[in-house]
Amino acid sequence: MTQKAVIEVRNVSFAFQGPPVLENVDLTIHDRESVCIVGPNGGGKTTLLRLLLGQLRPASGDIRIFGKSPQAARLQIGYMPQRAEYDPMFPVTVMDVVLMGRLGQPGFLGRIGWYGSADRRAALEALAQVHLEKEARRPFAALSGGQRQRVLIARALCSQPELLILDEPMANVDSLVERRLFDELRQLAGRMTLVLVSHDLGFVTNLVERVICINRQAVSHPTSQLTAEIIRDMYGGDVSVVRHGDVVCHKEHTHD
Amino acid sequence: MIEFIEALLNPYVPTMRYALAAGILSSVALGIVGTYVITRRISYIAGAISHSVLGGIGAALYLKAVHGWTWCDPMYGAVAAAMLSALLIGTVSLYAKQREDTVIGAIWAVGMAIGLLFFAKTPGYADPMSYLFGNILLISRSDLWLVVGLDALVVGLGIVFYNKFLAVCFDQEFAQLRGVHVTFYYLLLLCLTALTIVLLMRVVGIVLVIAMLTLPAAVAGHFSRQLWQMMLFAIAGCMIFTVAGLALSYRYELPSGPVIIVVAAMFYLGVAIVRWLAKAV
Repeated sequence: MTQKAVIEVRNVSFAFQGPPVLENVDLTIHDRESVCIVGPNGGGKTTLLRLLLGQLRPASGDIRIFGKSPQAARLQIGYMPQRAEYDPMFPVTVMDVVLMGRLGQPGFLGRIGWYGSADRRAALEALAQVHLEKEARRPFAALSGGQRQRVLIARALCSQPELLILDEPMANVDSLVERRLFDELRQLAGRMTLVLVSHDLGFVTNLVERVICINRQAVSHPTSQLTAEIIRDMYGGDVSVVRHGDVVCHKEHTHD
Repeated sequence: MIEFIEALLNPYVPTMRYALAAGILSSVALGIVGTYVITRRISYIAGAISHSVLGGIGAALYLKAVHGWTWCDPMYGAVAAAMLSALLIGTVSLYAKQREDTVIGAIWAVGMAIGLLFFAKTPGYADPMSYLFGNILLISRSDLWLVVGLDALVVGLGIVFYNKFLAVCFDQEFAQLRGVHVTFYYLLLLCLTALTIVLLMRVVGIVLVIAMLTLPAAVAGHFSRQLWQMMLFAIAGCMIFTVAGLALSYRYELPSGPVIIVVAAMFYLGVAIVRWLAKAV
């Protein structure tokens, strides 16, 4: 069975100034697949994400999202940024923030950025998916860090994307909320292509099918074949990994 | 206060009526654009635009006096210079990331310098002071029509693209990923700011106008949960400050521009102190 490729990265290299951040990266992510991108700081995770979103252009190689250029595919992607600092004085409600995900709808009103009842409905549905529909009218700044994170996930969801990219969804989230977020993400996982960036391998191993290690190059590991050794290699040192009860397969880890 | 109302009703002296009309009309644009300026944090850029407007005013006066371009009103020069410096400063701030403040500071001063040179070479009596700090005696009927037209344009665009501006002010990166042309809306916002500055040029002057753009919106920000509420409060604040300022300046025979600004500043300070006390108690 050949699956439809959603993300195709072919032989991509990128450098800001000096040594390459990414070198000859090849990567294919299929329709409805869930993957997690991991790797050490400075290994190129963020750069890869920016390339996928079309904010950077590769120095060489080619990136196709849904068979199109990243810029052309933007509106089909739901994106949650890693916690950016928002102005706590900014007067917006939760609903206002989620509705921003509805920008870019077709039609005249969509083009000038006016929201209709369909947009409001989609925003409320997205909020319901992260269990925050009751907070819709509250000021965004009045929420806790974890709640704000989930609002940003709802904002990414409410464009009804075919591809969802979440950058560090577990940052600033306490363990109680983490459990809930985990369930919410698991529900999403089967319905769309899901790309997570995470430091927390323990969290994602039960959620995704593949872990993609980015350290100047990309290497895929099926979650079922992750070993402590592989994980150590990924981060270039010892990390404590909390597994959610499954067996670590002891297999040799090679990157070639 | 009674003298002020009498002055407004005096059929032979339209000055007060013109000043009041210009103040109230421009309050709508000031409230809307000021809210965007505060939330997008570009009051420094707005300051640079407003100061460099003097270059356009000087050029217009010079062309009128020396080359006989009688149609060339200083207001037209101000509009042209405001748009030009908005686009110039906007482009600089987008592409000269590291040295943004240096270049903007330079444009600020160069615009004023060019204006003063034109003033120096313009024969007859031309006083830069009345443009820098406002002079309601200079408001003519045709000025008022220009204010009406610009006001309608700024308010219209500010309302039509509300959601796009909101997204660009709140999270520019995300807005771009939703297909919003963020560079276009940023430059449009600066152009609207530039036009708003020209609106109130006669009443408070180009140096003082920056306070009317920021202070009412800053006060409004304390009481608002949504951006449109902040705009409505800022519009109301602008109107109150201009009317009170004009009345006080008439009563105590003071220049109206500075009085309006001081009234706004005192209100801002008062609100800040009350809120600080409320938090402390």
